Amino acid sequence: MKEIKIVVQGEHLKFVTDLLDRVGATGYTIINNISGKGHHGFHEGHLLFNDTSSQVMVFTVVPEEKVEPILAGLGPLFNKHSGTMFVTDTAVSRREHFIAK
Amino acid sequence: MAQDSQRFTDAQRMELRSYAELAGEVIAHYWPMRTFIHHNPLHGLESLPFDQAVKRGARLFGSREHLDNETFRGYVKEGRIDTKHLRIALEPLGTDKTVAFAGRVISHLDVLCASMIHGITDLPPHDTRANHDGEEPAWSGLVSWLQTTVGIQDLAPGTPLTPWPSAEWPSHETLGAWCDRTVGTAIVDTINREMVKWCSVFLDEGEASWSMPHREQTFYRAWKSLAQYDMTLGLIGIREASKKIRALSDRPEDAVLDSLMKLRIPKRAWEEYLSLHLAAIPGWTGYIKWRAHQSGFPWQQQFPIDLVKYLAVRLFYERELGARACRDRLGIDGNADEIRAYMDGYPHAYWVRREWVAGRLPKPAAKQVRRLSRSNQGQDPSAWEELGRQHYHVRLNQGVEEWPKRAAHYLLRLAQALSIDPSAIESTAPSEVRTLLTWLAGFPVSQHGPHWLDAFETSHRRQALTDLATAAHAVAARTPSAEQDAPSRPLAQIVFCIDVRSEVFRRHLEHQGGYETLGLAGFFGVPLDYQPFSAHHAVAHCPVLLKPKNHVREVPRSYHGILAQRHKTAAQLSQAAHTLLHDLKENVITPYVMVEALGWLFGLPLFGKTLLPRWYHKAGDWLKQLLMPAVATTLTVDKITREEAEEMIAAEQHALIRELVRARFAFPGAALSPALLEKIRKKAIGQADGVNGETASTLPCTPEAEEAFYHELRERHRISPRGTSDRLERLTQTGFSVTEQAYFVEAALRLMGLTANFARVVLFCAHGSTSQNNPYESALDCGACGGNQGLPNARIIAAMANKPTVRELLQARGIKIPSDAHFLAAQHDTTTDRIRIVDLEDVPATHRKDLTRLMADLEEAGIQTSIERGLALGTPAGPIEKTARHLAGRRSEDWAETRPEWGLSGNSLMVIGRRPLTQTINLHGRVFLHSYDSRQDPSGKLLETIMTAPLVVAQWINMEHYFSTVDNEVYGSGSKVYHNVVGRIGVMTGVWSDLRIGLPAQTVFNGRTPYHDPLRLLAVIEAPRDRIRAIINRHSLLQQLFHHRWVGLVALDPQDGLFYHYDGIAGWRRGGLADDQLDVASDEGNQDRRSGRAPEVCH
Repeated sequence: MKEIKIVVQGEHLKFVTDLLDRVGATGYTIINNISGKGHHGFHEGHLLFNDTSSQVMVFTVVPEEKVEPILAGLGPLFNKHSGTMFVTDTAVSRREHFIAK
Repeated sequence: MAQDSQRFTDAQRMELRSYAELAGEVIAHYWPMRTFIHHNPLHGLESLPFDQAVKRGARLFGSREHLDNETFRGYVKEGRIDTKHLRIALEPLGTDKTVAFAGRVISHLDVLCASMIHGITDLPPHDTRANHDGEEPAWSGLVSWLQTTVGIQDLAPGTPLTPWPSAEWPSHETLGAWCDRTVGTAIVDTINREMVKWCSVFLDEGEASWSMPHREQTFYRAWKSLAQYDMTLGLIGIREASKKIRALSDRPEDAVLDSLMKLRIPKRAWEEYLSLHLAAIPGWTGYIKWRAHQSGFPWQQQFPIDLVKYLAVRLFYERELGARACRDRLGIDGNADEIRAYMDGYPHAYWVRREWVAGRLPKPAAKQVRRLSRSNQGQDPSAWEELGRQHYHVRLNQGVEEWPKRAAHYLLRLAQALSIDPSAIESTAPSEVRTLLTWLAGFPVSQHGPHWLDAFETSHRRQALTDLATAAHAVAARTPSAEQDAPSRPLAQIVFCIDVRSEVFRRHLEHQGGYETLGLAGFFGVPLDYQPFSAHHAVAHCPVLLKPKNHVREVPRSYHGILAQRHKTAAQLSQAAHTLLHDLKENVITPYVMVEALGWLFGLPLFGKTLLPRWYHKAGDWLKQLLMPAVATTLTVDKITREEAEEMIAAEQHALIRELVRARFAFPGAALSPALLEKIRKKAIGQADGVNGETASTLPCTPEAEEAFYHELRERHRISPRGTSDRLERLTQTGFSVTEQAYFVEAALRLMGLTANFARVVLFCAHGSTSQNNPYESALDCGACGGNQGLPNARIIAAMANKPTVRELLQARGIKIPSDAHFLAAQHDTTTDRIRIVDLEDVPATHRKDLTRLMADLEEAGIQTSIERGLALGTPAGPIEKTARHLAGRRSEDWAETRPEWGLSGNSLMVIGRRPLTQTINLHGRVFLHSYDSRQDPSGKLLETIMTAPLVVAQWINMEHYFSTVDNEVYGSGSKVYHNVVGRIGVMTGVWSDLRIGLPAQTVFNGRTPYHDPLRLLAVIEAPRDRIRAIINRHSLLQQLFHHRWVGLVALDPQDGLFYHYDGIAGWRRGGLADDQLDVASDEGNQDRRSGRAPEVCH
């Protein structure tokens, strides 16, 4: 199993969750308004009246064969907009929960 | 079933989705008309500098880039553009060279300026002779002088063979557009018609009587299953359509990939190619994009559609129609490789075909071309190439011959512009003439727009900043005494929306004396999902940038319980009557009978609304009040705890069970003990096992009847485990916790700098508009409330701020609200300029007098406002007070009124700072005013909130008006007179068109002249420069806006009291604008400030 963490601007959140749904990820977790430092400097996640310009993190666990479609779907997006994605090996206790029927 | 459904992998499909997402970025969201959102139609291009984005927009949507040069020249004549500012705008272009023209030394800049102001190169070439009839000898002499003495042939502008290199082709045109322009087909138009046909039936939201079948299968599949039987496909040129459609994959991604492969579009061009397709009808695609992003939107959940599904259908038409046109007319396959080969192999054939289709060939040549196209060599590229070569050379020679005539015309116009005797032109040295002509030809009219805009903005901003500087000066001068005296307590503080219309009202209210007004985004910082009384769904009341997390319901006040029930019944009856009427009207048979029976009833509103609108509405209101009396309501401000919610649900369920038991089992009410009711309820919701038959023995009934009873409770009345937990969840989500309430109140107060010296009455004044028969009504409502009326937000924040528990928390956080300060909510009707204060039941008796005075002053300010705003609408000069009010009322009730008010037209400036800075100036309702006190925000977090949300919303509004004015046909929606509402989502022009985006002509034009001045927003922020800069550095959104010149920025730095212009990456420049020193640093008071003393201003 692979754990995937994706950090994107709030305005692309819907695209990412849609992609995960289509690929068949059985679930994901979203953390809104995150802080951190990257290519574009430090981003502080205090509350603003604008969700689209905040940073969000989406993480999910999928079987290995799903990683490629997710990467392919995010490739063109990351060529144009800022964002990151990390893929790591992971172990889960209830494997069947992470495999789409 | 498609045989190739396994041809593509999931990775390919997801990659395509990513490209489609990026391609869709050039299309702006289209919000349904019921919540019109002002936005930038080029929002997706904001990553580009403004000028480039405008050019790209013109290429994608076929729009104009700027207002026409003639309109700008009109502004020069009216003195609205100062020629001095035009020179400043042209400075980056001008070199330091000069020429001696007819004995006068003129600079490069002089020539560029004259070219723009006098339109020297503006005339089409064939008009040159006609314009010189009066001066024929001078002109002819000049032509021969240029030809013989000067020798300017080498300067003649060229005639390009192809509009762009063939390799770039898929980024510029779609295959359909290429065919249309090369062989004269109408493919794009045909595809657009087909797409509008399918989109309008699929996207219908309850308007149509007969809805499209198979919609639940998604747009692409519904189209696929129906289009197979579409007989018109053969007529538009698709052979064996039904076989081809059946062969398509069931997956829209595969259909798009398949089409792209058949069209041989290289992957690097996918994004731009798909963008071109989406931009063909940006209204419909913008709506699809919006809908696909709404996860919880019921219509989308039921009938899914997205851009990939749309493209799958569109590309099918394109590839079939394109292939046929290419094969029939050119004898090639309709794909990118063949088209490139054609353009490269037969450039003259390509040129002559395009010229012919565009109607640019002279008659004899066109005749020859027509003959060839009809001959048996009609497809032979070599024959076309030969013919094209001949005509191309004729065109080249013509250009060379025409050039001296044009050049002579330029020189004569230039001499005229500079008041130089035309006969002296020939005394100019040939080299100087050549330089002059190079300058003029090198600055064609198509490049004038951006410089006109710069000059127009400079002239406008200079005036605005001069006014602000004067006001700032006055504030600074008042400072010393204000420092000594404790600030006096205002009669009341009234918080308005930042909307430009508030400025007029605020000014008139302040003139009444004693009032302090403030500006805050009209949702007052409280994003909420609001469900009005007797409505089934909640609506988001906040800027579209936000997703509300709190749900608020409007509920009847407890003393109106019975009345509320009556109201509900009347509403249900009215709804049923409406549905019945609609069904009768839309049925095939009934209308014949109905016209006879009920037709006359429709005459009443028709005549009433037309002849006596005011009387009709008064009578209507009276009848409504009689049948459906108004119910006093309140809002569910507080969060309900789980225990409270459980108790509420139990009470509701007990009541229902009691009623049912009495009805089903004829059981005497007195014998129904609470314990029995609870027992039945618990069993129904699965919390008690109970013994089957236990209830049956108590109630005289059979066990089967008992079982049926429980079944009915669970299935029909949702007294079940699932039903109860759903209701519990809904109830506990409603409202705000006390901490949340304190947080929202604190944020709102701190944002506008109102943290001390509270008046006895603080009024949150939302706004909304009233008009009849106006699909754009919501465009006149509050943008910060997502195109809704802002009253619920005002009610919520006032209720929160009045709570003692909230005030305790606020005091602990440093904001002490005195116990005699009472918060109120009101709504400003921007059409009639009347203010309605609500929830008066909650006003303490001690504040009765304050309220009476406030209401009287609001009424007076409203009259003054309607006089001022009425004048702008063309009310007869010198209206008496009553007339202004009467006319405003009539505009809001007349169903033939196309312009109930000017709305936000005229907006051009946003001031973020303290009100005293703008209080003494008449800003003519053109300025967004956001209160902000930089002294209370050392960390800059409040300013960051203002700059990333209210400022962005103001920019959207500004850009919507800007582009709707610059090209009302493309970015606006044209005249309201031709609008037809479609599918309850928007309007079309006539019976077939794109879904119209933007604002109607009546909103931004007065007749044919623009009423709205298309100027980009200038933000003036009263805050230290380094604080503003730090915020910009943190947000790429703001960097785009300011660095790419979508918004101008000027800081009024309180540390030195000077204005600084933000020049993007170059940083701050002293003075508001290049030629003016708009500082207030000349008086004694400012000496103090330069020595480090910050100006203290009474707020």
